[in-house]
This record gives sequence, C-alpha cells and structure tokens, in this order.
Amino acid sequence: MQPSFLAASDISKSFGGVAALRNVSLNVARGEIHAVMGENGAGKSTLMKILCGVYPAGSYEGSITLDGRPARFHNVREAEAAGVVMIPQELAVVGELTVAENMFLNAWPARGGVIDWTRLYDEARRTIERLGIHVPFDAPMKSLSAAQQQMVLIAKALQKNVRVLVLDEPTSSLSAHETDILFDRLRHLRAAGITALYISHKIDEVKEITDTVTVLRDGQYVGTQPTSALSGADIVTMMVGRTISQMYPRTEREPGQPRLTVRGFTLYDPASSERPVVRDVNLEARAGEIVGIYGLMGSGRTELLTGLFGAWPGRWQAERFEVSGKPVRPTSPRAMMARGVGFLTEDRKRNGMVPGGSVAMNITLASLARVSLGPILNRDMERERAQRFIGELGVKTPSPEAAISTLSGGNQQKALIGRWLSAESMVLLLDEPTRGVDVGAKVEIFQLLNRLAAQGAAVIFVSSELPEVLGVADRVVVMNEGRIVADLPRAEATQERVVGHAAGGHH
Amino acid sequence: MLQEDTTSMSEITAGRQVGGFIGTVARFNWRAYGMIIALLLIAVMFDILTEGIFLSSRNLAQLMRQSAVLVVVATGVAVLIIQGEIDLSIGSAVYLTGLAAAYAETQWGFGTVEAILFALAVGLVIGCWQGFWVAFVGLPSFVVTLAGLLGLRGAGFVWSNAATYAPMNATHVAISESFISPEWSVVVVAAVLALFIAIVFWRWSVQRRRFGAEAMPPRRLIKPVVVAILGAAIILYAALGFRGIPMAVVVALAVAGTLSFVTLGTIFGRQLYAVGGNREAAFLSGIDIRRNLFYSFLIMGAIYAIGGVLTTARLNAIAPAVGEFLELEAIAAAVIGGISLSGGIGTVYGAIVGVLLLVVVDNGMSLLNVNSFIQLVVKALLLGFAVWFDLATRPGGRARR
Repeated sequence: MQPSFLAASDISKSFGGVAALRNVSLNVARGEIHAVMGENGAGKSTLMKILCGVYPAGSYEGSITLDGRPARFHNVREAEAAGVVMIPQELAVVGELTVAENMFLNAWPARGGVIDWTRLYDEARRTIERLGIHVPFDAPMKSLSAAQQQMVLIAKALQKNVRVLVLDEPTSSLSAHETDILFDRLRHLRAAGITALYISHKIDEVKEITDTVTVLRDGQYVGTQPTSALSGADIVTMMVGRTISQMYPRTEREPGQPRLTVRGFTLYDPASSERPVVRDVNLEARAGEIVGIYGLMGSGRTELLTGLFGAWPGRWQAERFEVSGKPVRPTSPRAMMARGVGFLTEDRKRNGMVPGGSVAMNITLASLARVSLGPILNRDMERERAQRFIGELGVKTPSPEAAISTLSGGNQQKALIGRWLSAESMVLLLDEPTRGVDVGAKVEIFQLLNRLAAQGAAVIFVSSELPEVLGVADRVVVMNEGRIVADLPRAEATQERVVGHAAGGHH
Repeated sequence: MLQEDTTSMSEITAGRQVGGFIGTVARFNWRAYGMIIALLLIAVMFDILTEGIFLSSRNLAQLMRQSAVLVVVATGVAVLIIQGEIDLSIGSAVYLTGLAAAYAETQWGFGTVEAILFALAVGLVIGCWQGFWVAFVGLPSFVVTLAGLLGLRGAGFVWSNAATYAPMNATHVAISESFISPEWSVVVVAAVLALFIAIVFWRWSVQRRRFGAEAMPPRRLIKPVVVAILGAAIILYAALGFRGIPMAVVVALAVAGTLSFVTLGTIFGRQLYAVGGNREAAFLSGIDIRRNLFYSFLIMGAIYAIGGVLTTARLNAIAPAVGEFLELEAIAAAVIGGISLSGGIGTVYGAIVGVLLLVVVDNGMSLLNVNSFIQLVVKALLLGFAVWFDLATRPGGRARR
C-alpha cells in the first residue's frame, strides 16, 4: 500500500470529559477525493477542525503527518501555510466588499500600507480563471449566490497553494445544478493533483464524487473503503450501525377526524407583498396521521409551517383554515396555541431554546398557566410537570433544574418537543425534528412521533432527509417553489417519485 | 452530541436542585456572594481608613438612606434589562414626577396624598407614552428613552421655568426622613426575619414531602438564612445606634421585594427572562412580548413616581438638577450586580448588591475627602472590574458577550 499523503493516527479529543473522538485514524492518498461520513455528532467536524488547526496541537491526542512530515498546527494560519484549507459550511465572507477583496481578506497586496489595487485585481482574475469559473470579481460579494461565494472561497484557497482542500457539507445550500458545477470543478482540481476531504452525510453525492469513504460513528472509526466497493445501503449500515427497519420504527394506525385543514393557503414575502413564497396550498392532517413534507432548500417548507403556526411576518391568505373542524385565523402563535397547535422550529439555538434557562423552564415555557396558581408560578408544580415529560421522553438530564445548554443536542430536542407535549398540542408542526441529533435519539424521536399519533395527535414534519420521510410518514407531501406538487400515500411514495417531484420534473 | 459553546447558567438556573421559593433564594449563588463578600471587605477597609467612622451606626443609617432612591430605580430598570431593553429616561422622569409633587404641594396647596397621586399619574403617563412607542410602534427602547432623557427634563424646565420649589409638606418629607422607632425596629426586623426563615423551612418541608430524596439538601438552606440574618443584623445595628430604621429604607425594600417577586415568582416575570434569553423562541412559545413590554414601562412609570417622591422628600425641595445621571447609575448598579445587558440573565436582588457597592464606595471616599474627580475614576474602575469578575466567574463566560 502506498504511504498516505495525509495521515491522522489514533486521534482522541474530548470536551469537558466527554469524548468526541476516540482513537480515530484517517489515511488519505495524494490527489483523491476522500469522503468522511457519519451522522451528526459522529465526530466528523471535530476531526476536520483538528486537521485544520482550529483545535491546536496539544489539545488532542494522536499524531498527524502531511506528505511524510509531522504536522502539528497551532492555529488556522499554520495549517493554511502548510496547504490545508477548510471551506466551512457557513461561508465566512464580508458581503459589502468585492469578490477580489474577499479573496485577499486581510492579506491584501500592499505597498507601504497602501493597497495595490492593480495587483489585487490582476491576481484575483488570474486565480478565478485558473478555477475555470465565471464570477465578476469586482462585484460585491453579497450579490453572488451561495454557490458562487463558495467558488470564490475555493479560489481563495487555491491562491494559498492549497494541497488539501477540506469541504464541510459543501452542498448544503446548493441547488442540484449548482452541485453539478461544484462537482465538475472538484474533478478539475483532482486532475490538477489537489487532495480533497469531502464531509457529508448525503450518500448519493458521496457515491458520485468521491474515490474513498471513511465512516465515523459516535466518535469512533468504523472503516475505510473504496467508494466503488460500497452500495448506498452498505454506507448507511456503516453510519448508523443498524438496518433501515430498526432505524424507522412504525406502528399501524387508522387516521381519524381531520385535525388541520387548509385550502388555498398563500404566504407573501414580507419584503415585497406581491411575491408569494407559499402558493395555494391545500393540506389536511388527520388525528393519528404522520404527514412528511419533503422539498429542497427554498421550496417553502419552513415558511409553510411558520404560516400554519401563525408566525408568518408577511401577508397571508386562506380560503379555508380549520383546526379540529373549527375555523381559525392564523394571526399569531398564541391564537394557534389556543387551538392546540405546536411548532418545533428548525434551529434550536436561534429560535427554540432559551439557553440560559433550565430544562424545566424550557419545557413549561408554552404552558406556564398549567404550572401556576393565577398569575403566580408554582415551582413545585413546574418541577412535577417537567419531570413528567422528562420521564416520558427519556430526556437525559441530571435534574429538571439543570441548564438546558449543558445537554446534548438530542436531549435538548426532546426537551423542546416536551414543551409542546406540556402545552397539550394536538397538531404538531415539526421542522427538521432530527437535525443535530445523534442516531439513537433519532430513533427515539421517531418512536415518539408514532406514539403521539397513536394517541390521536396529527403530526406534520418537514425533513430534508428523504429516507426519514419515506420511513416515518404515512403520507408524503412534496413541495417545489412554494407549491405542493405531490401528495402521495405511503405505498406510492418511492424515492424516485419524490425526488422527481421535488426537483420539479413531474408537473 | 457535544456542546462546545456551553452557554452560561444564569442565577435563575444555576442551582441544580429543586425550584420553588427556597430554590430561588438558594440560587442567590456564589458569584453574588462573592460580591457581598467584596462589599464587606471594602466596608471594613473604609472603616479602618476612617478610624471607625464608616461603620458607625450613624453613617450606616445615612448610607442606607442615600441608597434608597437608587435601589428603587435600579431594581426597576432591572425589569427592563432582563428582557433585553433599556431605560435612559429615569433621571429626567424622576425629576418630572418630583416636580409634579413639589409643584402641587407648593403652588396648588395639595395635601401629601393628593400630591403623591398626582406624581404617580404623571409617572404612569410617561410610562404609557414611552411604552406605546416601544411596544406598539416598535421603536428601540434606547431611542425612545433617550428622547425621554432630553424631553422630560425639558418639559419640566418649561413647566417650572427651571425654578426650585420648596418646602415640601412635612408629611411628605416624613416618607423619606422619618424613622421607625428603635423599639419598633427590633419588632419589625425580628418579625420579617422570622417570617422569612419560616417560609424557607415550610417550603422545604413541602418539597421534601413531594419529591423525597430529590428535594434540596438541608445544607443549601444555610446560605440564604445566613445572608438574611446578616442583613437583618446590619439594619438593626444601624437602626439601634441611630434613630431607628429610616422610612426611605422601608420604601426601597418594599419596592425591591415586590419586583423580586414579580420577576422570579410570576408568569409575567418568567416571560421576561424568556424574552431576554431568546426573543424569537419566546414569541414562538406564545408570549405576548409587546404587552409585557408595555406593562414593564407602566411599572417604570410607578418607579419614576416613587423615585420622585422619595427624592423630593429627602431634599425637601425640587431643583432643576435633580436626578441627573440617575439612569446611568441605575444601569451601572444593575450591571455590577450581574444583570446582563443582552438580557435573560441576572436578578433584581443582584441589582441591590450593585447599588450597595456603588454607594459604599461613594460614601467611603467622601468620608476620606477623596477628590471628587478621582471618585468618578474609581467608580468607573469598579464598574469595569465588576463586569470582568462576573464574566470570569461565569461558567464558559469569558468568551461570551
């Protein structure tokens, strides 16, 4: 076997006593595209941050060599000087500066403190041409699409004589077409001898673009295989450590009365009241039913849930909007909560948790009247109620009074679902309920959805993980450009049909 | 999954154990105690430097009376800061309400009760006005109350032609300057202390019955009880050596106690913490942010009036410079007491500790005849140091704003 170009051996890293990586090894050959796969929390990002100097040498155990020489990076600059450059998932750009200025961010060519604009634009143009892309290098960065910005950052890396390009979930905000362009450019770079690490949990992409796959699970090394030797199912099994049927538990239920019925529901862009972002949606969810909404980024799925919860900031219209058979105007979250609707948001940190608060405080936040005597909180009632849902949902926490920010992502998510159970919601709107949650907790959340449906709740959940939607939902609703383009019963929802509708192929 | 950026625990959650009244009290945690210990050390230092004057009963009673107005407005502004808002108009609003009371008494011959009601009405109108613009129009509280800072004093000057009005009614002056007699002081302090300790133990026994082994361990009761006894002892020491408990202190403690209860013991207060901690999450949990904000400004309206009445009582007059920089002192005290300006963190009683630190330093330096210019610099250092201490001792707090 030829010696590895980039080798990490026996890497261990822990945060505050919790192991994030345990004896993980990674061997990457020169000039290959190497996928690092794993579920959220598997340790992919931690490993990459070690390779790129974000976590300095000394803060982890184990050794790294690059091109046969030991690599002990103390910061990102040292890693970049050695040719290891990371393109983060959330692109770090200065929107107001031009493309060329961004490419030289804080390393502008200058003479005596004065920027040499001619050289800056010359070099920027040359690098962009080398990457073979078309980007106006004198336009402000913010005028570019996410895909173009990403290309600019790759160009910036090329400028630093990159040898190993680390791409963290590079397609998470790209359209299918943009993804194709990215892949094309990556092949181009591979031909030029540049090594790439490709972090992803999307199996199709990994199959398409990478040469080798390394899988991590729960902070441990699972294995490395040539991509061509693995089927999609093999990769899933390596990643989750269990088969699909164990992953997506299901119970059979008979749907009952309609819990939520909307007809002709349209939401307009708050910035321009004429442009609809959700158009003419007809949707029904019955008691005991789990409805899965699938759609690509920007298809309007989050906007739809926000609108159904009465939290849409712009103009809305509906021909019919009923909860449990009674007409409602979705004017505020409070109005919808009063009818028994609950909404778990996509981004826990941004608009889900109250981070300084305890687990109990977060659970009871939407049902304070149930733990109070009149306007006065009763902490004993609060604790009892919180404990009830902590027990029912299996939230692992030292006590109800522990700060929620000290829990793992999965347990935080369960606590936030507990918020809506405590509010006795009968219509649950869940936006990406398994995002940032480890595999074990995912299974528990799916089991929970089944149990809630069996108790008569209507569950509507959005997911960008197709296997999840197909595995868990009784009915699959597909969105494209703000419209519902397909509403398929479980039996008819195949991967091909759903993806085809989501991409807008079956009008 | 791993949480790298473990956010800090606030006072409302730092205790890992049972909630409830005693949980609340026990969560008056070590950082706050650190401040109390610092306060005591500074007091002892001043006492040595002033050769026993600082800790004399007379000076302590004086110091408590000086603190009263600041306690009222600092605990008031804490209600706004906890939900991530601010009030810069306090000084001017206190001036205007004080002027209302003084004008009514000296020019219209109002009795004390009518004058106070008039001041309260003026305060509530100011609160309504500012609350309307912030809560219902959606202007930033910084801007609205900055306008209040300028406009309310201006309005007072227009009304009074920047004149001084004196004297106040004798009964009005008594609100700040009278004393509960030493005998009655002992009775009142003992009764309040006994009540406090009784509630602590009663709540604890209820919890033990309800939660068994998971209830709070008895050793956690020691801290709040010790602090309460200590506080009572200091008040009694000052009261008995002088003329009893100053009325101003009674008013200030009543306001602080009420606001403590409102913020920590009611649905409204809990919602304020949620809004300050994560505004969007609070909105999506059905909390009526605007209504709460409006109510908070109404509370501030009452606070302005109480501040105005206390100040005029203490000065026995209203003068054009009354209340200048009071808002900044109140905000400084709240921040020194551990309330985060970004919201969601800190408690009303933290603000009281902040006030005491400021006033002790102020009073001690004045006794030592420290140049008043240097006093400003020392207070600035105190503010900076206190915030650094707060961040440095907060778990994972250094990197956070």
